[in-house]
Amino acid sequence: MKLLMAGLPPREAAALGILVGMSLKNWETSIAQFTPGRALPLADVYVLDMVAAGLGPWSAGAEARLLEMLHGRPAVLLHQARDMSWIEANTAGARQQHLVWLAKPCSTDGMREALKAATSPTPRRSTSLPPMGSASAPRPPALFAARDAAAASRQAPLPPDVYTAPAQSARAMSQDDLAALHRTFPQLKQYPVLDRIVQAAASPGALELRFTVRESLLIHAREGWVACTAPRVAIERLCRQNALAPTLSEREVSDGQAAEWAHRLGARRESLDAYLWSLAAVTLGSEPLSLTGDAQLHLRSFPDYTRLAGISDLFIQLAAICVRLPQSLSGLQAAFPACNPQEIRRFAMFTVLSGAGHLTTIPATPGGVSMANGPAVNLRVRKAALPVRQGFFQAMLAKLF
Amino acid sequence: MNAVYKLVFAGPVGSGKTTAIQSLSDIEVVRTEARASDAVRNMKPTTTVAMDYGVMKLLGGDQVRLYGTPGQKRFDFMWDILTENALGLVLLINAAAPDPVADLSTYLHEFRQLIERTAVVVGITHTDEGDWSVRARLIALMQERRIAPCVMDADARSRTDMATLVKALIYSIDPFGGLAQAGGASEKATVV
Repeated sequence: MKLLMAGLPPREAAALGILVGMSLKNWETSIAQFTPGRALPLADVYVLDMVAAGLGPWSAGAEARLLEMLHGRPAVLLHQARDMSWIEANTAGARQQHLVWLAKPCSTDGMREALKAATSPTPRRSTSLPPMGSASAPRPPALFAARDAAAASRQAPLPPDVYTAPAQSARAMSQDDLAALHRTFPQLKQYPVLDRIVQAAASPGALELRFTVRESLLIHAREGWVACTAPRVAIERLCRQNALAPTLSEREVSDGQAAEWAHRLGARRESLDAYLWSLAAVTLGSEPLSLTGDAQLHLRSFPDYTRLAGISDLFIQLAAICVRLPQSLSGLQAAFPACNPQEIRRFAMFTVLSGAGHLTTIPATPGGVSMANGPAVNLRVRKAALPVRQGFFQAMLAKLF
Repeated sequence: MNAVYKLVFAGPVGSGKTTAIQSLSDIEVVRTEARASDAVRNMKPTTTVAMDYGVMKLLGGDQVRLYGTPGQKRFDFMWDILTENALGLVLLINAAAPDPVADLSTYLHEFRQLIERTAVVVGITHTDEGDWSVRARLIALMQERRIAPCVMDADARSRTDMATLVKALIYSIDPFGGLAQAGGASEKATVV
């Protein structure tokens, strides 16, 4: 099912795209720009903001333009709650079309019901759904907070857990992952010691990286562990200073040798993914990360956050999304405009170098949205005007920390 | 009227369900334990026979009831009862058990309706006694079953670990639920 959104602010279009992707199986979403006098690209169903389309109050001309725009396909039409002119007009032309009117602001449940009504095989022509907060609305709090309402009311079943399996299901980082990481974040090469360690983690077997005559690090990528004769702080210092990079040597070791090595030297084995994540976080510190272009991030698994320090809620949110379906970094930025873009880049880099995710470069398109010029400013202005509801999920999260 | 929600903790005997609920609960956990009389006796003297019960009291008066299912298969009639209308599932798997992958497979199958309806997170307990490959094998199984592999190591005694698992579950159910808490953002998404 192809859903095309038109006229929604970028943040809301991105968020709706993620919600649809996570909630509705086999749905694809895309965003279209309005061009005066031209129909929208073909899709199975549309979500259209009437005001943004220049179709505010009803008129015969506006109705003709709307019907032309939609190619006779079903649509969810978002209208101002106070403007009932389209619904009251209820013209023959509009009745021929499978349209669902949804007053703004709408809830998640409202939008889901509207999409269901619009794509229902039995057409319910020109259905009108009430706005969020009206007496007949089913207690909808806000767009993406309504699954708790559904869970509490037990009336509507929750959407299924949609999951898109990654192309490469192995957990460890591959050479392709490493190449994509370098392409997207070339800055990694400015830290040659860290980069060598990450490269070792992308090798298929066990590798010993020797820093000095006495100190070395053994990485067993396939078994997912690392052991070191030096304390963690010493390795962190080496990664930051890079002084020993030219003298670093490596050798392959067998599985048996690796276990014997760790045992003989009394080196404690640690989980490789958490080790790499922590090492990268300390090495890069707060240094801004630059991107060479947009990329799509897909997680093979949830990062092992319980073994990592300083994990923000944002990182958990991003992991919950990206472990289910691939997301572009620009799309994530659009969906979380109030968050620092650096945090999203950091999340992408750390998940990939720790083996939990992989990146696919997205070819640049003329006029494409870049991470740097997202919709953050506009939405920050809007933010203050919106009422903040202390819903169940927020109360729950506040309780947890 | 305040709302009441339900989270279910499941997993085999000895995976740490009772301890996990104790870590999160605002009340002393209500246990329905009996002296173990079968093979479980070799693992621990008592075992849960009906359920464990704890409560998280939220700001505003809402409550989250935490239910722990009995680990033994012969009490599985309780599983359906406890999962009715649950918000989500926290599955605890003991890494030191003889076959943690088989354990996960069993529980994913037994709780598949709840998982399909909501979401699941898996916490691997006793990781210091288990094999290095356990997490990777559990992830592989979930990928094979086409279930999002939200798998983390977890110490059931640690409130922080348990809170991280529950947060992951909440964001799996509603990825924007806690936006006000994250990265300085303070709005919930609303189509306007």
